[in-house]
Amino acid sequence: MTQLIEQFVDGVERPDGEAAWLSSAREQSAERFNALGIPTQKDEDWKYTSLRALANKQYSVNAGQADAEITLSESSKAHYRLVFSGGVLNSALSDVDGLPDGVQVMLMSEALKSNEAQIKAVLSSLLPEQPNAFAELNTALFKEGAYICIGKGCQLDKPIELVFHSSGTQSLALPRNLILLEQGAKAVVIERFTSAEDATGLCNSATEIMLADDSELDYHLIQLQGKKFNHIGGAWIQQGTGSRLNTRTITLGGLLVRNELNVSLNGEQAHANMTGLYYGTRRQHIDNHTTIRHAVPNCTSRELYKGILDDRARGVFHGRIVVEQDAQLTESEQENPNLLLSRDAEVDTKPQLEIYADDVKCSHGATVGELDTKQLFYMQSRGIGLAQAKTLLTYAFAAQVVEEIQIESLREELASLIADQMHITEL
Amino acid sequence: MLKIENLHASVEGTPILKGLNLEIGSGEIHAIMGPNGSGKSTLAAVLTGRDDYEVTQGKVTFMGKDLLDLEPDERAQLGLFLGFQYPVEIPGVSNMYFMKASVNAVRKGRGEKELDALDFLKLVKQKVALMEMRDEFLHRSVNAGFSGGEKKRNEILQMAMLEPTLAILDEIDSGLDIDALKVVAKGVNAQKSEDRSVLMITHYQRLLDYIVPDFIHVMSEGRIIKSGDKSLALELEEKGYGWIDQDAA
Repeated sequence: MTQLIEQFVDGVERPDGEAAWLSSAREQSAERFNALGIPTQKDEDWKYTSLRALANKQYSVNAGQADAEITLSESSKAHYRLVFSGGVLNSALSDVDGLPDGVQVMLMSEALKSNEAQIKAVLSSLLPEQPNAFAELNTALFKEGAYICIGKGCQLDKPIELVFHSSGTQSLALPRNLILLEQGAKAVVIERFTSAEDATGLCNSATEIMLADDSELDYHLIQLQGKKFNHIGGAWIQQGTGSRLNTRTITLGGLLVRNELNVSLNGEQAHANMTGLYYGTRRQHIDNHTTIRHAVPNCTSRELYKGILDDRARGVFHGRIVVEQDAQLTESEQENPNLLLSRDAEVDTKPQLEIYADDVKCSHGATVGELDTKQLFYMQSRGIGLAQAKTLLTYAFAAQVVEEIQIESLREELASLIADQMHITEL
Repeated sequence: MLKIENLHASVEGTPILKGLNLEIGSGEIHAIMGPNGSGKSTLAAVLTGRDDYEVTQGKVTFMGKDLLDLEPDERAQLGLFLGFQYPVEIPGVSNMYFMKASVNAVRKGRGEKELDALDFLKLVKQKVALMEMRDEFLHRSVNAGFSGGEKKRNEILQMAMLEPTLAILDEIDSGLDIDALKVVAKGVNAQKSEDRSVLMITHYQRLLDYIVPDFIHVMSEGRIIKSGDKSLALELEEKGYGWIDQDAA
């Protein structure tokens, strides 16, 4: 009998000479993927997102073009970067020259040779204990990705950007990344996902991140794929004592997008700040699924995800916060405001707090609304037409998340992309 | 410039304005006074086009046009300005950006050239100084976190930027201490001109010591029941609104 993984994915070739531990990990993951199957809406974690349209098709790991034409943004050009197209490195567009001492940025395939022991110890160790079909699929089949290691106390002069570009018909991209920050290290990392406008297929990414004590990471997920391309990705992040994490997930593109961000606060005084903006138009479906686990006392987390949904777009926010029994003096806040711009747009928001400690401060709030009529009237009374007033207010709603981004060129790029999507001509 | 004839208006089916007549000429300053619930603020809302107010009868002509036919933004472009009793906070939109959008929308509506960033900045700095505000206000979100006095100053700043033909100031004095009131009044007085009229709506005589009206009207139960010059305000203060009600009856 053909296994699910073979029905779902075409063109898989096992690389020669792969280490035995990796081959065996891949086989186990493939078995688990076959056993789990593609999630259905009966699965509580997939209640609001149907994969039916996506599941019955076949995807090819070779369908993307390695030499696809890619126009890098000005912001990307200003960063250390690895640019992947069709699953392989585009070395002409990549540039990691001049990295400071103590910083390694390399291909996962290279790192598997040069840093094998380290990767063997870490790879998949950060993945969830809960079964996760797409994380298993990635482990079973990934070929390439980025390995980033920032040595003890090291800092960078500019951000590191990973660009994953997809093209072609029914392509499957499987980026696998590992980001390690040693004690006291600081880094800004961007994962940018793009595709050709008419590309179809799926990007199934998985990133494992380990933040040692007192390290600091600004982690960006920028999703700008074409309107026919799907994305199911995840990041699994472990935080040590005193570490600080900012995640910024901005989803403007894609057809069906699912982001799973999982943060475990494992050392005291750690802080996780997760922000997100999803702006869906047409028939986009954008699902953000986050889990923050407070495992020890005295950590703080803050989550702000904002959604704008127009046309027939649908948004999902599932924010799970677990405060374990020992995690006293946890402070956690979660907010998920949503703006519906059309009668046919829809959002499902589900905060899920599981608190097993008794001395904690946790708050959460989700709202679904339309534009404020008092604000609209105020603007109109100043001569601003209704359509422009609506646009301005929508933009202002989005701006709060964008403004928190610390990289000026990226912030400006996103602000202008959002403005374009809203048909604003001047800002 | 403005002519209101037999205006009737309701809110959620309850009649509030019941046959109001008022005419304002160019360059005139009018004040409407009256007890709470007499319909003063409803008049301001109807004139500026708030859509939860329904006009059931009557006619309003402004600058030769049927005002009630126009959208709120078209009214503003025609030169009508409302200073809000409770200015609205708009987090995320900077005061500067908002005023530029507003000034240029009004200019465009009037068939004038839009101001570029430099000309706008020059103009706004001048007006900010007039209102004794700090430049920092321009970079904050519209009214967000402003004190009561700052909000009212911001209203008059916008009026100065938009140069309206008719400014309706709805309880511009409410919630202001005497120093703030003086600044607001100074801002309004500085804008007096032959082709700019002002309609002040107020509960208190105090405002009229600082912005002196040419005409005072007393409103009760949705109509103007008495009009006079500024001496009427003094009489009102002495005798209260009850005196007028009896007088009118």
